[in-house]
Amino acid sequence: MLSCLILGLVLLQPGTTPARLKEASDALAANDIRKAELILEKTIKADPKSAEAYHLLGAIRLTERRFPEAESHLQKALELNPKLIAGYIALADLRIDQNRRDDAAAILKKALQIDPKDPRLLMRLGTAEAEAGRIAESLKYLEAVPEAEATPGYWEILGRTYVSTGRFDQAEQAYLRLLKQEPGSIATLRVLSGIALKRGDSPKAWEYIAQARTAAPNLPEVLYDFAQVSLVNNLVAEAIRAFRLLLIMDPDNPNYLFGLGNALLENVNFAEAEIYFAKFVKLRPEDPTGHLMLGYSLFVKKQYPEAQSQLETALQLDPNLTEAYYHLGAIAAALNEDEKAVSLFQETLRKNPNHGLAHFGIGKVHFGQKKYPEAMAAMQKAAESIPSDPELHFHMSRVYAFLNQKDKAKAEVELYSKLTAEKEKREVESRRMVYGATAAQ
Amino acid sequence: MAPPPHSRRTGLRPPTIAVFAGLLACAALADISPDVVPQFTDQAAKAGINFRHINGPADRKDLIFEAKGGGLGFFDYDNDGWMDLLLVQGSTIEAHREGKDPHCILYRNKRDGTFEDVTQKAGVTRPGWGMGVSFGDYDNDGFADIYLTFLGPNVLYRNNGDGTFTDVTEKAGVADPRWSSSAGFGDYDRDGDLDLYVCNYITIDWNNLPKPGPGMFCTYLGRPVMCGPRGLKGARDTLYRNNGDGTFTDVSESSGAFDRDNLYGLGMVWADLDNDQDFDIFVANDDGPNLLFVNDGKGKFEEQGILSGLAVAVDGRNQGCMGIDAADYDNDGLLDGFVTNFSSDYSTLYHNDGNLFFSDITGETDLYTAEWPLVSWGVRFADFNHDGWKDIFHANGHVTPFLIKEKLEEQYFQPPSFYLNDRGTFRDVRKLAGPDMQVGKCGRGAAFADYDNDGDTDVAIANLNDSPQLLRNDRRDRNHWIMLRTVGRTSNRDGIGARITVTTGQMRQIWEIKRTVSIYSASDPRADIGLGEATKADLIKVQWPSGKVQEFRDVPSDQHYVVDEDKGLSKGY
Repeated sequence: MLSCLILGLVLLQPGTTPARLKEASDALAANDIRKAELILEKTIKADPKSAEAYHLLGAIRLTERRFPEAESHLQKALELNPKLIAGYIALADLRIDQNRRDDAAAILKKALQIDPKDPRLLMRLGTAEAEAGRIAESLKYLEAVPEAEATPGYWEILGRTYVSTGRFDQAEQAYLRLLKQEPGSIATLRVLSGIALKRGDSPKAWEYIAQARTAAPNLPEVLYDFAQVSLVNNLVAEAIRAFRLLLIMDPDNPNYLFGLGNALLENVNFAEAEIYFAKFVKLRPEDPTGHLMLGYSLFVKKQYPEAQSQLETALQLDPNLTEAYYHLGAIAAALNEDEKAVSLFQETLRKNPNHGLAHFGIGKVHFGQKKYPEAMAAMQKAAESIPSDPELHFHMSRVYAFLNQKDKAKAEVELYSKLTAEKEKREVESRRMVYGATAAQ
Repeated sequence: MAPPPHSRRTGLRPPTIAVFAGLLACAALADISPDVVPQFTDQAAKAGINFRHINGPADRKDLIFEAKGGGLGFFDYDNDGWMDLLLVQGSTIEAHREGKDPHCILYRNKRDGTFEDVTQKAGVTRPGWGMGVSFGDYDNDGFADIYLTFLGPNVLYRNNGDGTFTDVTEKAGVADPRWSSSAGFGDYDRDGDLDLYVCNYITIDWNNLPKPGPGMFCTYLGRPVMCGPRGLKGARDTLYRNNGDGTFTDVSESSGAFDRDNLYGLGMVWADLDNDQDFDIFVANDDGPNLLFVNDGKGKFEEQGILSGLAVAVDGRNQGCMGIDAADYDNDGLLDGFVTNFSSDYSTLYHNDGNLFFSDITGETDLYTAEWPLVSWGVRFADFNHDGWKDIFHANGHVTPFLIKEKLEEQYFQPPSFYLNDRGTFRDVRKLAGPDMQVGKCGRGAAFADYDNDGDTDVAIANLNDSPQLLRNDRRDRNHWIMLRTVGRTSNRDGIGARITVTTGQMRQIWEIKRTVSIYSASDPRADIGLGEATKADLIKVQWPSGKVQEFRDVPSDQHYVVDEDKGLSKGY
């Protein structure tokens, strides 16, 4: 141990190459590029065979985008030390900057032959392959990186690569490792929330984004995500509060206006929702979804002609906007135009055969016509797409009751109660995350 | 993150409901003749009602029971034909812990528009943290008795018939120890005596009271507030059967009227919702599904809230229900339902489609948007302008005092709501109903009575931490009316549950005798029937709970009548 320390002190004697390289590294770490350059140039003069000096100077030139000089210095470094892995990496970075991704990959592969387990190489190669769209190759390298060597950057690349392949469970694990290394990272929590949504676990998504919100309660992007994920979780009051806060920060932000309008709709506050959608449409008249939602808000306020006009505008802007057909169908149903309503719901289903609410809409029309078997058939189809919708089962219980099938009616009541209870439980759990348990006085 | 692809709400109502949409189309206020809108003037001070409600500090509500409560009730305790008024008193944590709770106040109607405090003389001075009141002649001696609900235990006072009362709670076995809210008397087994349903709200652990926010279920609009009801343990309701000997038996479980999930019960009404001549029980629950206990006529109930459609909103969503009533608002011979709800939601009008199917048709009415910022409590369907169509009146007031200082859409002090029924179309006419109807208060219980015996329905509102309002109905219309008091003989003495059908020309109205509607409160049991322009009722049919049917023809209007199950019809209060 003592001999190592003595050797270190000798090597770092002022004026020696190691000492100068240390000084240059320190300057780089302090972001004092000019000082680092001067030291490295002096080092090369004093020790023209210092591969590391050439490598560092090349790396500096690369960041300065002085590519010919970077090329020259890095080639010299590798000529002086063909096993200098960092040199290969920098040269590969140069190739990437030159948009020569295949060459970059070739350089890294060559370096990998020198040290097949070098985690930096594996990570770079994995990244390069991912960026070249060769995901399987990328994962081959990334997954070979020993966990002990994994840096936050590595977990992020690995996670991102898994996301691009749709392997959300593995992506979540990678980002969780990243979170372990960078506890409380807002960015990571946001990504985790998005991944959880992708894999259909909206309560988990809410859990992540709620953590982010606790850490950064006034960060607009976090609040926005929080609001949206709250909405997906039917935590409507939370969503409304978050959107209102966002609009205090940025009153004319179209996304916030739209979001609040949407949340207010979920809260059955149609009058106020209309105001926000109207503002959104004014700011973004070309956006069909704004017209769609404004149309819907007007519809529920029984302003049918205005609602139809907005929905038709939405369809002019986007003829494939399925929801516009659906809501036009809903308006027709409200106007007792049963035939037209069914036709529009069917059009909705032509565009999206799994549109559960359109089946449900047809079912409700038949229910009103006292065509109970037809109503039940449509609602059963709806249940294939939206099996966990309590409202559907509430209505199914009523249709069964009209069909005098009391046992089935009761079973639907049970299912409705179960689904409602589950929703309630989810909400309780979600709230527990944010507020903790109720304290005793 | 992209917005969700679509709103889950369809806005599409069951088309059976849409049929009514035409009937219930909105109409502008401008086309309403002011003459048809009753004026309500607050007479509380002039009437000598100097009661002030106490319920924890007025500007701070750390505990949920400090924000709830405040009932009141009209009844004629001395049988002089004039409605007397009982006001329920709350308390404070300090007083409660020191055993120094106050007691209710009983005001005797002096028949000249004023009242006198007869509490001490009447002996209704048992202290406690009061919530609500119910009346019923449980012993059929011809004098209405009092049942008071508290944070627990409740109290039954027997009316001695001489202006005094005796606390018979222990003997009767109705001292429900839990936090009770509303209670109502009704004869579910038609044995001629009144049974009792008690709504219980939350289980209170006095040694472990929930701390106000910010905790789970202890925030509102992002502000820390009192906790609950969600997150707090609910308390099971109780159905007591009257044994006919001055005692009651808890039959909640055995009868099937069983609040299995300990829901947060706040309001209840006895009503024959399926027209099979027995009383069903409709319970309004806060933050949970309402309950409908359907009576099979043999003393057993089956819960059919969800199946009937009365438990939830049109989209299957639980609401924060509080006040409740059932009456036939569209004169189709079936009792409809109305429940008042918390803010950011609407109070819900349920149309009775027959065969125990109800449709939430609030979305098709004016009630819908007007209700939005309101926290609504005591309610009743009543024909305030005697046009033959039952209107809706309800009290409003928030629960979180921080709103006093906030400029938000939701206000702490809220004026009451008043909707006139124009042949099935509800119109918000509160702004036309006089200056006293524009005053914001923190309303809670509401009771309805013709306290001045001028033939129309007046309103009293219990206001949290405040004086009550006595809103006298000063009608400007020229419509005619009759008012009927029922006296049962084989049936219960109050005649509660009697179904009155009044036919005038083409119009046929029904009214069911009851004392308990609204929340925490009890109302004049007399039937107030508007006849419109008709100067007589062509036919009055009384269907008694005993099964007896009486018919009276060509009954002159603008009179108070007594209908005796044995003696028939006579003039009188």
